[in-house]
Amino acid sequence: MIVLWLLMLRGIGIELRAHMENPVWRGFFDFVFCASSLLLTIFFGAALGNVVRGVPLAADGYFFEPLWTNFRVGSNNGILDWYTVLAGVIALVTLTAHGSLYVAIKTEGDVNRRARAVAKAAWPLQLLLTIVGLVATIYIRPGVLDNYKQHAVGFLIPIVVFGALAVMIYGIGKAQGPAPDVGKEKLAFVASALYIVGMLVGAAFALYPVVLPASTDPARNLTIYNTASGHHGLSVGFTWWILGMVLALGYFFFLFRMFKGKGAAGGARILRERFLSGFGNCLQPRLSSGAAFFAAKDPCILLAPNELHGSSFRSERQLRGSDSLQKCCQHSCLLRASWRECRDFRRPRGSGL
Amino acid sequence: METLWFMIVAVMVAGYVVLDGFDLGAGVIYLGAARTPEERQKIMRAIGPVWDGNEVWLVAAGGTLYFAFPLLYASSFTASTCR
Repeated sequence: MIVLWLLMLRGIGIELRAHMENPVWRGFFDFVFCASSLLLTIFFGAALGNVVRGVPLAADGYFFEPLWTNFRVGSNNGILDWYTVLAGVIALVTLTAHGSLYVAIKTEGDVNRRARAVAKAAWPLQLLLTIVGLVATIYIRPGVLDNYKQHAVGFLIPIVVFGALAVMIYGIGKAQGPAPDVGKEKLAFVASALYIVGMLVGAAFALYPVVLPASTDPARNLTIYNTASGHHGLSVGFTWWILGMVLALGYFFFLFRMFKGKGAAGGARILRERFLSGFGNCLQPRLSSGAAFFAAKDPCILLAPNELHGSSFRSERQLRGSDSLQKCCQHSCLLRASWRECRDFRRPRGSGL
Repeated sequence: METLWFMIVAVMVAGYVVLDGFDLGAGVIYLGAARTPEERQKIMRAIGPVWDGNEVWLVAAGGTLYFAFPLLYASSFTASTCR
């Protein structure tokens, strides 16, 4: 429930912040966005901590947990106890580093430098918390080692986790300096992703076949066998899942390719070509708020990125009406002139409109 | 088959954490790393096109869970709302 509210607040923060050109309004939603992101990482971590630690399942397979009781791990536990709070902090540090590396890849200048500094500062903490988390998990649930003992291949997972951490610091270290090395930033980001996957797979491997352990009585554990759907459904669903995943992966591949590169610089070239070949007219795409992002990367519309970002252009006509843009688009699109001319026509950045 | 779906749910959750993880993390450092409106705009630009797509992975993971392990879904989501 908390997670749901936070997700909503975060979406609202991102969407509404640009709706009014007022520092108080914008500052408030900036704060909402930041705070909800931060709390979400902690609560997602805590939720995962609950799944590993176990919840007080009743005989009917349902459970009720107060938000906290005495912060001790036992049968009378709350959603938050020392273990799940630890899991929350691990998630916070891990995702902060992960997000910083992403921001570093995507930005230049001061933001890039600060993001790299955050990732660098978070790393020792992340290493420490990984070890503490591992020890704490084994301490509260010694059973997590059973699967690892039976299938030694599982020990590859912690090796991957620590290997990923090592590659992360290597990448972060190499990317330091006045001129950031995008390749190394990307390496560190991929390593961070690998670390996250490793941690989650490690937890899943330890839990299997239990999906929700009971802190009350192990006989009440929810396992994949006593919670699964019928076999026929599962096999039919598998076919559809593959189909759905192909679509989703295709979409994400396309999306990240379109917006690759730092800031608006990298993506603009691809978008420009795509738009020119696909539509032949820079004003063709409809300006929903999603499309505003496409448009904001278009060199022609770079004239008015701030206005576009806030979706203050509600319609194509309104956009056409924009003085500076009209000149540019007449120049480039209507006359079918080259985009270089359009770019040259553009006023220097920061000169306002 | 159950094992396969266990793996699928794990993959979906991991996919969500890796993808939405970076925009959540970008949100965490947002106020500190970007101080002027222009700088904040840069971070917003970085995650702008992708963050809501990433969050759909959570919905997809929930949907997968509901499909494959309905009793688990019922148990975990009932507890968090009304009981």
